[in-house]
Amino acid sequence: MEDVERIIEGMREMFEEDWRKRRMRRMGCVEPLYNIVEKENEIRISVDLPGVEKEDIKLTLYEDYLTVEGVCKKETPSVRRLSGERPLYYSVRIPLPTKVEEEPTRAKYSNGILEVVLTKRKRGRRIPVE
Amino acid sequence: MIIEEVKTDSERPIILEGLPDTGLVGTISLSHYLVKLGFKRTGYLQTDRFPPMLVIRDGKIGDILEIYYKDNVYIIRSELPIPQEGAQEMVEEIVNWVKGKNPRLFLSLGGIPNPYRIDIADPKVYAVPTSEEALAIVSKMKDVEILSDGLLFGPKALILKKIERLKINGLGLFVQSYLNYPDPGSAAKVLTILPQIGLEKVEVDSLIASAEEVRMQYRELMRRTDEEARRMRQVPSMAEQSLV
Repeated sequence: MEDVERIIEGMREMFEEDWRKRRMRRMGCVEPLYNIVEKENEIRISVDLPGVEKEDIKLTLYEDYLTVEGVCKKETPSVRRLSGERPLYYSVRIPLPTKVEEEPTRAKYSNGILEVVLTKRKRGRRIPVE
Repeated sequence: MIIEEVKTDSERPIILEGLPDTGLVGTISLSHYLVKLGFKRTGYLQTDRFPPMLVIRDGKIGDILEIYYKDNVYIIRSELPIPQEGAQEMVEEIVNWVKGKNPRLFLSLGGIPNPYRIDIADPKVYAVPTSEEALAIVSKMKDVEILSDGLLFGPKALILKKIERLKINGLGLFVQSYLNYPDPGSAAKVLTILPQIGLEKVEVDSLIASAEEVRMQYRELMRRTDEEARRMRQVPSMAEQSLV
């Protein structure tokens, strides 16, 4: 029964992701380059968002993925080539390699690169015996 | 094979190679170098190993891998990464051409990934000499450390290995860089090192000032390079790449 539920959940995620990508394409979104580095206790995710202002970044953490959206308002030849007359939107859904704590989470944006540090969820928690 | 369309009068030249690799350091730095210093295209690599792609530059049809030349210095630049299928063959073509030029120095410029690059204001430069003579050059250089331990993957690794086997004075200069984002900051850093080898100095302020535009410009090449690197290493993620 659990296997069937897992398959259904997997299919649901697949359709959702496909639908999200289609919607992004219609909006003229570009998927930014990103990188994940997994350390012992943390996951460092960096996303390449050239031309975006810090205030225009929307970062949302879900249970097993992170979404990053941003808009580039710069008027450069590369932006015009990628998006034409419209503003250039970035959007990406990044699957997390493991479950993470909701807090503490750090995010830093510097020179067009966003870095998010997530703390891995501890697998076991010791319970004191009274 | 490499076709030379323009005859050059080089004698024991320096050859610079900036094929797409980690952070596109070599590609960005040498593209900036050849444009700013007015290098002229003299040849190209004739191969059917690249995917069907037409390069148009300044309204003219160009080639994916091109050779540029000025004042006894050659530059090898490519608009695409060397594909896994045919990498050996293409590297062989490049190295045979290098050997035929009898260079006094072959210089490969690239990046070495650092996960903390975002916090590094002044990236370090590491050197991989292929001969005693190249080692002697490095020992006189400032701001450059010998890469004592580490692993290099991909065409640059192949090229340096073949250069070493052929007893050509070769030097790999690898700068700490982002793994899979174009890194104009690291490209600028390696350019500041070149005058120590007797190469012409080039201004890098404009490269740093236009860093975000450069990153957008090279986004697609970086994506392709990352995909190719993953295929070559046959592992799921480049993030696991060996670090210094």
